[in-house]
Amino acid sequence: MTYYSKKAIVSGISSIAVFIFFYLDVMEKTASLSVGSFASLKQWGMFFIYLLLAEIAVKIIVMIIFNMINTMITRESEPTIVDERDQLIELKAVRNFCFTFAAGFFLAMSALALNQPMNVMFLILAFSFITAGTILEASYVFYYEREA
Amino acid sequence: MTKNHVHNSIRKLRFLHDEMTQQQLAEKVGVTRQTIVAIEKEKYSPSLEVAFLIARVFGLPLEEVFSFDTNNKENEGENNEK
Repeated sequence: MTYYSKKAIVSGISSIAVFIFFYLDVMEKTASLSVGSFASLKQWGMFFIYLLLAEIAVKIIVMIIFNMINTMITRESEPTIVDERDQLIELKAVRNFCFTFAAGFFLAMSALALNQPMNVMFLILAFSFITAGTILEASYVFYYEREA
Repeated sequence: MTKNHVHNSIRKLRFLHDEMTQQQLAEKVGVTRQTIVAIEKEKYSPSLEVAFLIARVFGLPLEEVFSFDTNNKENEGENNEK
């Protein structure tokens, strides 16, 4: 398995863990609030902001730890060259991420158009965010392993 | 999935050049070893620039390192017409 495949798996797992943590937290906080109230919307807004910030912070820490452990075990350091194939794989993975997130966004807006509660829209947005993130990492693994 | 029609003789050429390793070739071309592996296995077709750089490492013209499988392409075209 290539360095980038392992990195994508670790990154994907950390993203899912962070999402579960914040998702359970927002579910707990919004459970006592009335659906569509300002307080409920505020909680969802805070959920997305904290989720994004935590994702970035956790990813940086996890990648530092991953690089250390990977170097110790395999004696292989992070590749310094990013060549055309790496860039092509990144483009394809980001394309898949964008398609998935766009589909989720469309679904969330459809829920609003079909008179669903606001919480449903945020739920769909949250799940499309994590699904798109997982597809991004899975795409890296798929493309690197298929052509390895 | 589209089939790769670009073939190469990099494995043979590496062997003939003092059994050059994939890592050595990768360093000379300026790509990662994984990219050389993918090109050698014909799972990835390199850009024209990388193809020329590989050919230059072996001191050969491009067409002696890479070839295009025109027969299969023509057969596919005939099958599609049928």
